[in-house]
This record gives sequence, structure tokens and C-alpha cells, in this order.
Amino acid sequence: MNRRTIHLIAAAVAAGALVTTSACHGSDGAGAGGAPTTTGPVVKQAVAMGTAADSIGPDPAVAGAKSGGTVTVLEPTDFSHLDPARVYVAPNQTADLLLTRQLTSYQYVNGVTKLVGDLATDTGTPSDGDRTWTFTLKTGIKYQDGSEITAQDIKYGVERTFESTLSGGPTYLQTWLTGKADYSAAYPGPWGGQSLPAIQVPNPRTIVFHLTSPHADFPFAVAMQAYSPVPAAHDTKAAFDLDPFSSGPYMVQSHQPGKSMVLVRSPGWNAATDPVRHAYPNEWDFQFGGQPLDIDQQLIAANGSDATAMTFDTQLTGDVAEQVMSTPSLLARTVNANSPFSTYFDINNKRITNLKVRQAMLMAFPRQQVREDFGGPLFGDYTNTILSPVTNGYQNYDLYHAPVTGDPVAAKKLLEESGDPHPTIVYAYGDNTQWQAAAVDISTALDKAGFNVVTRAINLQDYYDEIGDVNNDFDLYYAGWGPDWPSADTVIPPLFDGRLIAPDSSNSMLFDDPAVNADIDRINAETDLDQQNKDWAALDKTIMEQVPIIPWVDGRQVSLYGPDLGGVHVGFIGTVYPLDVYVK
Amino acid sequence: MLRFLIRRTLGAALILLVISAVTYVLFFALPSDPALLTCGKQCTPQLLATIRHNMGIDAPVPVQYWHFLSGIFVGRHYGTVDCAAPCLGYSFVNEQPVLQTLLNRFPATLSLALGAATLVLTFGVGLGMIAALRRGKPLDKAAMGFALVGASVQIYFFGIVVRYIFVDQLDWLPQPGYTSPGASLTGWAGGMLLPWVTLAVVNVATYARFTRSSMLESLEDEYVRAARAKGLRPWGIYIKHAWRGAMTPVITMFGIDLGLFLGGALITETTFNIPGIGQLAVQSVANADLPMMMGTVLIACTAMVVSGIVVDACYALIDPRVRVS
Repeated sequence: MNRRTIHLIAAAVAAGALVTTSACHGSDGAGAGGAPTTTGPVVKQAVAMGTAADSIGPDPAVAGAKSGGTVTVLEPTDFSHLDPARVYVAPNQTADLLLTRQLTSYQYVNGVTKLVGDLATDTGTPSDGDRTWTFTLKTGIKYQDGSEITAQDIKYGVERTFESTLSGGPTYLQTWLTGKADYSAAYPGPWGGQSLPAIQVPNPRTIVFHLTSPHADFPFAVAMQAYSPVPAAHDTKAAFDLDPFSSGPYMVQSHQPGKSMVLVRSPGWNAATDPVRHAYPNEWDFQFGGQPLDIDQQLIAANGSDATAMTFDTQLTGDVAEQVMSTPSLLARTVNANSPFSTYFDINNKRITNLKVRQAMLMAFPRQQVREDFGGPLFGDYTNTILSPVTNGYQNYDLYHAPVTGDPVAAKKLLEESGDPHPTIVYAYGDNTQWQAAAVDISTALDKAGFNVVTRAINLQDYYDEIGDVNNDFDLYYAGWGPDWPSADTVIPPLFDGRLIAPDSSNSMLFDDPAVNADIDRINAETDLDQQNKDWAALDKTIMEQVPIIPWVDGRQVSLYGPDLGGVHVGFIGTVYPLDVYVK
Repeated sequence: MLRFLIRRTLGAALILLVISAVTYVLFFALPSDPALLTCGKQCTPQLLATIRHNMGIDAPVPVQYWHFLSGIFVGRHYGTVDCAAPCLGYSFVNEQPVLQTLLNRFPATLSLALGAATLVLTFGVGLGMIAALRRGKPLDKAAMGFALVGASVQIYFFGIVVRYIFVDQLDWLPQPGYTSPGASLTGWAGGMLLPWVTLAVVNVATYARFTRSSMLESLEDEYVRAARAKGLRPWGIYIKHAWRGAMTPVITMFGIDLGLFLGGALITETTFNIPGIGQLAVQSVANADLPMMMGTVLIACTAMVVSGIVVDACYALIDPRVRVS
């Protein structure tokens, strides 16, 4: 879940998404999956580690749910990838929930999320100081053709992620197994006939991963769809992306890229082995290409098959937001909950080296005005931290107590203390209407504090390329991030480890502090997850003392769904979760 | 006629070659990097270089263009991916050869184009003829008033309004969309009805005005006056003589419009979620899918060029005064 995903969200917003609505409420728990309010206290949403008993299927039933029917999914665009090796962004991950299974996965029961064994009997057994992880597979786990899922298939699925043509997926296991960022040089993938010795399969039901460094959160990493089983005999290489051989409850019946896709039940899937998937509907009918407003209108009207329609991640558009929020019958079928995606503003730490200037930027920043440009409270909740509430160990704090409207007087004072009361800064932004409006608000607020703001609009397609240039000549620019699993290990190292600075790296704020880098190594080496979570939270605060970014909002997922659907809520990926959905 | 067709076909091939070269340079010289878009969150310079190589975009633009041209005749390989001849490129967004996607999308565009064109010709030409016949009468004024309104509305406005009223509110029609007529003839007609009507309404207006003025002009021609003087029946003069003469410019315009429709009615397809060439073009731009953009441009150009040839050939059939030389 990356900054480009945030970019897509921003693009959706640009297309006319959320507007301010004074009638904004969190929706009811039944309809919205425990949706919190948008103005209340920040709530930690920890994910617990499940036991072997939790890992036994079937998934506890959703009250009132029944099997059968067809669910229509309306999306503006097709999924960019379905091949698990290439699946990373949230919509793709959500689709692959229906098509793949993993060693571990997330079980959602009555608002509580646990990591449990999925294909494996539990969440794995560590040894050698968390450098070696062993998993035992369940019996009776099968592919769409009824053949058994084996440990060798999981090894092959991981090995496929090394293939350079299968780009776009996460690289955690590849890096951890080889100890190299350029992992393809160490192992090119299985298509040339080579095997990866760091993964051993002593028998068809046991798989052992030998990592080059300790990783206590390894069970979370193997929950990513990228590390799903793939039988070598059914590896169709590039074509796998359109029609993956299913290990999940559904399989692809037809897929016309950009037009439509139909998923039907996989005959091999056995609910008794699956603790995280219900698979109530008989069929999923995906329709791609509708505009977000049209999707909203279809879901509001709910005629014909739209009564059982939903969307995975199309945000409620501004044109209908007020109507939906002020109509109880529509609000009752609206999800409104935190997503894991945070949007913040990078300060170019290579150019703005004076701490007082960075503090002044944060103090003067008009967070509220900019959020209004993006639709107000429905867009997300204000944050003062790096980590978001969906991260285990998250601690809420506010080091600077900057008002959300900005404090030009306090910022001016900080600038005077910095020795440069009128610094010139370049604010870069993607060129769309929302960011254009935000640029006016930001330059006005910062100018008021004494800055001379120069705004620089960048073509949206090129935005991340431009800010990813380590020699860019911008001082302030937006970016976004979502943790890949609820651990700060997937947030702080990729964003703030200065040793990872490279063209197009996630450390686009170009922050490099040897002390922080050392802390990252120290925390990563810890084997106690609880202690690790506490230390990440402490490091969050330590980093923010240097103000490398201006935290802005933790995003929300707000979407409508048809009245004849039940079990609809936002899931751990941050999109509308399909695995509990049923047709009434 | 055969020489004419051969000459026009060769000319069309040359035009397409020039257009493809210009388009290729324009698109592939853009600063956007499709490799970066597919590289993912944990992109490394090495991985990026490999993807660029696999996509075939690490070579100089002229070399890339040569690969593109030769691929049409002998096919291409992109890393582990094969694109058989005729290969118009490979979409790394759709993970499909461009031609396969274009062929997959073309039936929806063809349905939209032919349906709308039928309505346009029937009602546009019909209204125009009636208006010309009843010049200055209430029927003429009503027809031209409708034409004025039709010419003023925009597809993205009219389409959204009729969809909201007839689909979302009244539930009289199914959601617009494309269903193969082979799968369900009623589903096909029901889903395409609003797109046909919307695209037609905007164009009927133009055709009605154009036909009216052309007919009025034709009715003043000497051969028509001679026919009248010879005492031929008014309807015979109207249909057999004046109409045929008036249709030549209308057919010219129709040829251009049909070519445009077949190349993809971008706004109509986007407004009604018709998965045709026009919507594909919009999606390709949004996805920075350069090979697919290239493919949609080429198919649009081909549609224009072919319809031009057909229209030229039709002149002789419609108007005996015209001789293909």
C-alpha cells in the first residue's frame, strides 16, 4: 500500500469526491462495521496474534448471513493486477482475498481482528532468534481443480516474486531471504529452473524459511497475498495476472480487462479449513469503467442487480455526500471507517536543514483549510503522529500543539529564532483542482508566518517521479503511506531509514539521521513483538522531534452499498471487505 | 473503380504510416515513465532498468518505432511475453496484446456507432427533408427548433440527465452498458438504447439542419426546375431528383461522423460506461498505457480513412453526376 495508492485516492478526490458536509456522522456499527466518528478521540485498532485454536476453520458465522446470490462490484477501473506476486495496492489485495489463501491471514469477528493460521495450522514457529520460521500446513486445503495445496507450492509462489518481469509486488521476503535489496541478483526466480535454498520443504506439509536477519513480525509478512501458493504446473507467467489459478473460495470464470470479470465458487475450497473466509455469495460480478458519481447514483437508486451491488474502494463523491449523510436509509448502508492510509507533507530535509524552520512550517501549516479542499471530515482524521491508529503499538501524542488552522504568530517567532525570518520555500503539488486549491491555502498561511512560498505545479503522472528525485529542488510536497501489516516495521524503516535514500525511494523527505538508522536496526533485531511495538512508537516521537514531515490526516473509507447486502464493513486492508458479505 | 480502390488503399496505408510515426514520437517522447508506474513501492534502479528493457522502452525512440513496425509483420517478444503478428504492441497494464484488447472492445463501439448512425440518418435526414418540404410552416419551425436545442446540448449533460430520470429514478430502462447481442438481444438493445439516443440527439440536429439547407438548394437547381416544368409529380421530383442531389454533402458528413463513431465516441462511452474503443482510449491515457494509446489512435485513424474511401465510392452510387476518376 504505497504512496501511489494515495495518489489514486487523491485523483479520485480530484474527480469530484468528498465535499464538506455539516451532517457528517460516523454510521451505525451494523451498517458500517463499527465505523468510528470522524471527530472523536483517536482509537487504537490493534491486531491480536491468534492461537492454533483460532486458526481452525470454519470462520465463525456472521449473524443473519445466508449463502447464495450474486454480488455486483462496481469499480471505476479494473484491478491492475491479480497475479499474487504483483499484488500490492489495496484494491488488488481486496480482489485477491477471494482468489488466494496464504500461510496466515486476518480473522475479523465482531470487530476484533486477529492474525491466524490460514493455510498453516498456526502463525508459525520461530527459532534461531526469529531468523528461522517453520509452518505446518493443514490437511484438506485444495486448489480450484481439487488438487492439494503443498508446501512446495508456497515455496514456488515466493520464488516467483523474484522474477523481474513480475514487478510491482512487495519485496519483504525477497530481501529478508537473501539479505540483499537487489535480491534478483542473488536469485533470479524459478523460471530458469533454479531453486531458492533459503526456503526448505522437508515434507509436503512443512515449509521452513531461513532469514538473514531476525524478523519477529514474519507471520504478518506471509499474510500478504504476494506470498500465496502457486503450483508450478499452472504457472502461466504473464497470463496468470488475468486468471490466477485459485487457492481461494472463488475462481475466475471470465475476465475481460477493463470491462468485466465474473468469479464463481472454487470446487476445491473447503470452508472447514478456512478460518477467515465465509464465501456466502455464489458469484461475484465485477463491472469496470463507471464514473464514481455514476456508481454512487446506481447504489443510491439500487434498481435491479444494483440492490446487491457494492464497491471495494470507490469513495463517496461530493455530489451526493450530503444527500447520503442526511438520509437515514442511505446512511444505514454506508461504510465509514478508518483506512490505513495516511497523507502527510514531506519537508525536504536535505534542503531545509534548520530545525526551527521546519518547526515553523509545521506550526503555520493550515491543515484544516487543506482538508476542506479534499472534502472535510469524510476525507480523514487529523493526526500529529507518523504511525496511524491501525498500527500495533500506536501511541497518540502531540509534540507541538499546532492548531489545525495554523498559528502564524508562533511560526513567525520560530522563524525569528532560526535566524532566517523570511525563508523562500518551494511547494510542489500534483496539478489538479484540489491540490491547486490547497496550494493557495498553504502559500497564504505560510506567507502570513513570514515565508516566501513559491508554488510549483507538476503533471500528476510525473508527480512521484519528480519528488522521488533525490536532487529535487522542492522544499515541501505531499506524500502518503499505508502500513503493509499493522506493524511500524512497514512504516518507519521504509520512510525514515536514511540508508534507503535512492531515486524514487519512499524516503522522499530525504531524512537521514544515523541515530535513527541505528535505532531501526536495534528495534528490528528485537524478538519480542510487544517490546518492538513500544520501541517503534517511541521512535515515532523521536523522529517527529526533528519534524521531517508535517503529519496531516489518517484517511477514511466512505462508500455506499446496496440494500440487499449484509455483512459489509471496512476490513484490514482499508477497503470494503468482501469476505463477510452476504445477499439477504 | 478497382484502380480507384487500389490507389486509395495505398494512400490510406501511407497516411496511417505517417500518423503512426508522428503519434509514436509524440507519445513515447513524453516524460512519463510507464516502467515506474509498474515498478511498485519498493522499486530499485536495477528493477526499473529490467522493466524498461522488458517493455522495450530502453532503446532510442526511432529504434522503438522500428520494433513497433516490424512487430506488425513478424511479432515481438517482451521478456517472457510473446506478442504474435500482427503485433500492435503489448499492454503491460492489461497484460494483453494491444490488438487483442482492441478486437475485444470493438464490438461495443461498432454497436454504438451503427445504432446511433441509423438513428441519425433516419431522423436527421427525415426531419431535414420534412422541414425543407414545409419551408416556413410550423412543422419546419418545430423541426428546426428541435435541431437548435439538440445542437446546443452536450452529451455529458444530456446523457447524465436521461440516465438519472429513466434509469435511476423511473427504473424504466436497465443500466446502460454493453451486452453482446449473441448473449442477449434484449439486453443488448436495452443497454444501448440510451447511448444510441443520446449520441443521436446531438447529431440529429446537425443533420436535420444540413439536410434542410441542402434540399432547399437542390430544389432550386435547374434540373429540378426542369423536372417540374415537365410536369413530373412533386413527390417524384422530391425523392428521385432533389433528394439524390442533396445527399452528396450529407453523405460526406456522415462518412466523417461514422469514422469518428467507429474510432470511439469517447464522451458517450465514458458517460454510459460502454466498454468500447473510446473508453479504452480514456483509460489508456489515465493509466499511461502508451502501447494501448497508440492502438486506439491507430484504430480511430483507420476508421476515418476507411470510411473516407467508402464514402468516396458511394458518391457514384448516390449521385450519377459524380464520376470517380
